[in-house]
Amino acid sequence: MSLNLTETWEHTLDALRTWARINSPWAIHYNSGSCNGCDIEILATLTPRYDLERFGVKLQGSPRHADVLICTGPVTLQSRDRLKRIYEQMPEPKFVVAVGACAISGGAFQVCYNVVGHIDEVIPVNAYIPGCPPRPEAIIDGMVKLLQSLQPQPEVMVS
Amino acid sequence: MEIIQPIITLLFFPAGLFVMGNGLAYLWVDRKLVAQYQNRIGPRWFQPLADVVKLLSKEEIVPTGIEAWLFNGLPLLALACALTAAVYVPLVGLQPAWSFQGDLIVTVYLLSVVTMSLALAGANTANRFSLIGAVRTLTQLFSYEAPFMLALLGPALVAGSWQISTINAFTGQHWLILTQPIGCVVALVGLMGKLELPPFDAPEAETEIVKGALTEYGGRGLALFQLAKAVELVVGLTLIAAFYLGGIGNPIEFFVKTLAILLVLAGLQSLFARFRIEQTAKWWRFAALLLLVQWLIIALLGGKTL
Amino acid sequence: MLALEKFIVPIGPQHPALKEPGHFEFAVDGETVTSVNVRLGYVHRGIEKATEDRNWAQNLYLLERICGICSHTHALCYSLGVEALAEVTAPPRAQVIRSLVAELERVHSHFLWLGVAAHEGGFDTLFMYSWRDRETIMDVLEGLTGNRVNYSANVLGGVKFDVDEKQRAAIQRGVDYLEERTHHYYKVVTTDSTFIRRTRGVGTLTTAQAEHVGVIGPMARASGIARDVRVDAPYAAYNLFPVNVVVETAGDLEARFVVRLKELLESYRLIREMVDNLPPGDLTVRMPRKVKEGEAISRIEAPRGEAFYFIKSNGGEKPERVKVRTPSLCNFMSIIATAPGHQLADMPMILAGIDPCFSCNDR
Repeated sequence: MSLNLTETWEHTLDALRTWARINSPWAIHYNSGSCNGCDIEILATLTPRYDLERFGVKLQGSPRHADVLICTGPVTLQSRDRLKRIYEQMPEPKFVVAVGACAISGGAFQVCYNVVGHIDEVIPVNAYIPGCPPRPEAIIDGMVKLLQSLQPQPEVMVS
Repeated sequence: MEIIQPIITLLFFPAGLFVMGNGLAYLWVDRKLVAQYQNRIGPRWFQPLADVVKLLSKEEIVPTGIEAWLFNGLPLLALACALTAAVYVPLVGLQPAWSFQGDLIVTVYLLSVVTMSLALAGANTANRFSLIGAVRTLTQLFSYEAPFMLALLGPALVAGSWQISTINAFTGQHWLILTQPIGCVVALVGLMGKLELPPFDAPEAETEIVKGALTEYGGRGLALFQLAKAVELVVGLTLIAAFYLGGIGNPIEFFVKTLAILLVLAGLQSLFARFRIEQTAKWWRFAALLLLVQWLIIALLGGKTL
Repeated sequence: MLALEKFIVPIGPQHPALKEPGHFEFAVDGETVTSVNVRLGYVHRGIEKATEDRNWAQNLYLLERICGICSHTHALCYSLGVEALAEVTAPPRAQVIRSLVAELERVHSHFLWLGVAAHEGGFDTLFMYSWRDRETIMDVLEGLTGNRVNYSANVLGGVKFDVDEKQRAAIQRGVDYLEERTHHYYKVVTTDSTFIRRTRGVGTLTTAQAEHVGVIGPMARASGIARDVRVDAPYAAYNLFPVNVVVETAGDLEARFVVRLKELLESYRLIREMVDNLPPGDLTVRMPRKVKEGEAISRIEAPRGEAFYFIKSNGGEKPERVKVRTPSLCNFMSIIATAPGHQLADMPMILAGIDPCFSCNDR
């Protein structure tokens, strides 16, 4: 009986934690070499027409406050260490979203000499949002899909 | 039995869980209203609650090279002080849970300790943004504290008591917003300064010093500070409603009046560009002078008979 | 007295005030800034070098991605340079459409700047409102070109798309709405007392200083220097549609707001004239695959000032050298000139005042 109670209690706590995590993703944004296009579209998602705050997303300034690191652009030699450091400064649990073609594959800048590569060569990435740049709607969609994937889903794999 | 009743008062009602829940709800109202003023839809109703629960469940990073017990203790102190202050004010229109002659002073100073612990927390972290944030928090504290106190003492003066419940009973018959409009405005703006709401958010100005004193706090510390702010918001709103808007006699009056003030606060937040810290200080010097003039007038007109 | 260590406040490379990575070190004495140090290059990808590995047409798409805000600027400047080298001139209709997109881009860029600058000053409501209205121009651009950011309007020797009746109506509707809103914002930035307290007399750059540090674009025009490539050396269709240069003399942040907002009004006039007077004709001319040997310089007025391209060809399919100088580089010096003596709180607005674009600047 007591074991059962503890189990239920743990279960409830877990559910509560997951619920809070899904509903309050605070984001931090870092541009590691992008052309600005994606950054502007990310900023546009906060503005009245798209309003990402509906999903609880708040753009934070300090890595300590953030849950989701939104990365744009290929990683340049200069910003590689910065990107790693920001990732390491974030408290667990943390997620990374790569926005834009460059962040996913290096995009148009693949052959440039000062480009290290795409984001997931430097830090692990949880969600990819393609586009050059992705529309704000696509960014919102990507964020929502990332949040849905946190929901425990025993049968269906999240694509 | 004697020990249980205070514990219930502190942990559940009217302080504790209730006031925290109320505070979070009011934070949502505030955020939603600001979003609406900015032409956005705004967050969902459980947003502040989800934020706090999430922060509580996050990893707590204690930076190296600082006093860890201070780093962990200050958020607790802030929340405890805010909750204790809630005991002395007429929440939900009930009589304050505790009351004695002079509890107004205690309440105001408990609210100051919340800000003080925020500043200390900033000064304790070896982060440049936190340090500047701490300095600005203290500067702002010193500048608004006097006028805010004076604004709250105005009603005390005419009611002839420094006990919140007595003043509340007195203001039930007198709408002091009509006779002391300056005091009301200063108290309202003082509350904004206390809560570091825009345009008085220089201590945590995002585009300059990231998050001010709280830059290094993630997880639990940040959650506790947020809760403390939420409680402070409710206590402040209750004080102003009780003192200037005809007192608080029943729950309906409580909610209507505090929400009305919140509506005005949200409007003020979205109307202005951020004040620089020295502009804030200047503003408050002006406000304190105005209040003294108002006091003089009250005194000349015969104080109590007003 | 003890020799005190300087207290340095770093802004960037990751900082909420900057959406892009750049690094500024402000030495402060209390709240007052005593000196500034700038470090650039976080976004350097090596685009100029990469152009040498691609043919003339491919480079158009690479160079367009130097900057996501003024993408058309780069493509246009490059096209003009290559066309001059190849001795090809785009047909008149294409020239007007190029100028039209350039002006639309200026509108979107200035609206973007208005919002960002207001956000730096803690005036989030203005940020939200101006970005809401910016969506109007984004819709127009998307309807016209098919993309919100990288328009890809240019090809070597012309433009890709035509402007039909429906799009003309959409442009006019958008511009009518934005004109009304711009008048409103003009009123806000010149009369709102809290906002003026943050902008008037802040970051003043006198005409002499402006000449000395060599600022360009709206920065120069806010300091009383009438410098505008569209007038000084008209390109594309600007000799058909002359521009009235907006000049303010105050040189402070408020003047920069005023200049950009008045430029918006000027752009609306140009856009209206252009869509009403589109010359008939083809959109492209044939462009040789190999470009004649030689060197060419092309300059155009980007939203932030003069963009400058130097292109060298050795007669092959690929350029020998493409050198880009973007406006932001010229304006960074003005921060070092104006910042000392100001409050730390003014720094984000002074930074935003030059409308810095690090990805342009570092390439």
